[in-house]
Amino acid sequence: MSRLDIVDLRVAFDAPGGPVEVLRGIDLSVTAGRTLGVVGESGCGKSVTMLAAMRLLGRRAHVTGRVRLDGLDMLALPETEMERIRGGRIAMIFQDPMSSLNPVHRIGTQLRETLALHRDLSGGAAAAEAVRLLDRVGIPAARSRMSDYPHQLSGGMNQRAMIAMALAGEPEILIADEPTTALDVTIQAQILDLLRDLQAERRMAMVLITHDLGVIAETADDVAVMYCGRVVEHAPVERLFASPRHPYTRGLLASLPRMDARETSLRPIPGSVPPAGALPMGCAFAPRCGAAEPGCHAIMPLLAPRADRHEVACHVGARAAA
Amino acid sequence: MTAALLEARNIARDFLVRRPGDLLGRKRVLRAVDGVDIVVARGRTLGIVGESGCGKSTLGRLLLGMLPPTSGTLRFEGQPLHAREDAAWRRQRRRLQMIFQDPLGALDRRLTLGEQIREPLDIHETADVQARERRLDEMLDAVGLSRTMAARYPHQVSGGQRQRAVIARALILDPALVVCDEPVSALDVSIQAQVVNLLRELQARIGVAYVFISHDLKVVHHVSHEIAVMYLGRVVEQGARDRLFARPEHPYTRALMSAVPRPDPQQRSRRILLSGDPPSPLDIPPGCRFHTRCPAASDLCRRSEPALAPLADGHRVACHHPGRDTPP
Repeated sequence: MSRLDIVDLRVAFDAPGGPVEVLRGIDLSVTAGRTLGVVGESGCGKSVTMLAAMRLLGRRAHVTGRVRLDGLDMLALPETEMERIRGGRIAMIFQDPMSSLNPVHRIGTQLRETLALHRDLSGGAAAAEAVRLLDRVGIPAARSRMSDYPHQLSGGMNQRAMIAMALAGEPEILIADEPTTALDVTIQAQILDLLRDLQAERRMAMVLITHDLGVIAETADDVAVMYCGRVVEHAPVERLFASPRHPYTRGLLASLPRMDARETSLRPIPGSVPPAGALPMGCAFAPRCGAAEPGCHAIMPLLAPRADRHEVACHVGARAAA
Repeated sequence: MTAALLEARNIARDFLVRRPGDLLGRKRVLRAVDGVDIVVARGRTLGIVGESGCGKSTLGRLLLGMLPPTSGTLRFEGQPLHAREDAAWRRQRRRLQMIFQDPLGALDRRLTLGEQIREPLDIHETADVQARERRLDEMLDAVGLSRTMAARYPHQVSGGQRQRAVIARALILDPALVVCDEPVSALDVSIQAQVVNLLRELQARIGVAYVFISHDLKVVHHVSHEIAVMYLGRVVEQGARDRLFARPEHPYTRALMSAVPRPDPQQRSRRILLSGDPPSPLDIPPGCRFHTRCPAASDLCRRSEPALAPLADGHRVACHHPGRDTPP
């Protein structure tokens, strides 16, 4: 059973005034057959976490920690072995399908290339598998779409083509970074259903990165809420939505407009996210937190493991749950 | 009965576009808005919701007089809406303002927030300089920006603060109507809530009316008194907010509402899935334009286009089989 474990992952970027730490010790795990939702607002580090784990951040990033794929430390592997893992055992899809699809090559050509690289298929076998994949992700008339270029497909269809590309390497782990954010809501519903079905059918582990708590509630088994480069709450999805423990998670849920609510005023979180590199002492959320105590401004709370698997990095929230 | 502030009658707007893939550059007519009636009442909010390509932003620009309609009439405060930049246009422009999605694009990088918020007063030369400064202070206060913040340049402040500045600038001339096109879509959810609350508070205080255009049903639900749902250039359903959300009639509205992910894991999979993509506005299906994706479509729908007509309670829907998710 494959699993991905991220342990104490830290990332700092070079900046004119010295390195700026954007990930400050992330611990996350995902196992076969489960979906981990990673949620947070812009700049919280949710995308950087997975890009760092896949070693896609480039030279200006200083990455430390462990990223283990079934015990194999990916941060210590030679680059040639990482290239086999990317698109093979671990595949990624993004918000913009054009980040994965080449605009000057036909969809079929790109799929066959991936099949040759990761599964050693060529000729008729590769073509047949490519059509099967396009068909599986719900592209109508798959055989004739093989000779289309990406610009000939709609946004939703390109998203499906990108998912087919990701599946071509038969990944054990699928990382989906805001996969439906650019799509209309009726198309988003189709793509989320597709991802859920594929994940169950192939027993993949899935990491779903999103800013949308609705998408998390519909798709994830476990949820990690991130704020300022740290995981502040981690729980099974039902628990997180039924009894959120971190004031930030509570604040996010209270800010959401709901279609079934009659109440007319939203409860926003006061203030705004501090920039990385200018974080306050102690808990990074304390200056915006209604429940903050003097200790919160001095000591950074840690995410402590708990028997009910509902972990919270909050002095107040942890005491309330104990 | 509240007096109509803005009234659009049967407006349409065509664009000439190059046919996709046509190397000879031959043009075709794209009808982005096709026969829309809109009434906005003073001090109220009309929400306009729909997916990309439904014509909602074109409609917004028509309502502002930024684009002349191909056909139909528009009246604002009883006068024809001027699409030409003359003296009458200038008088109307003071009363009719706009807020767009991207505050950074809407602001001038070389001017401080305060200078830009005050600029409409300077252009329209409303009062002496001291009075303009006092008015600026009032507006800063109303949108929750400090004097220190007003001295900064757009790139020195956050997205939420920039949108507050855009709102202050739109409201400083005391307009009767503000057309807001996706005003909070670029903002994170906690900041989105701050801006939505601010727009509502300002309406309660100064009685401004909004046309609120968004793809986001949740936000539209929150700010609107009345809502129009658009699909491929037409309004397919329109009515009071609570009536619409309690009993959506058009199968498109029903599918749209069911597709919105709810932040509640107990409520998974009660979605009405629409098959396929929306058709291109260059290639609008005959009959009801939604029939190619409609779970309730019948032969009648494939032949004849339903008009937007009132039901017994005044709620309006353009559908042969309102309230259904399966064919009759």
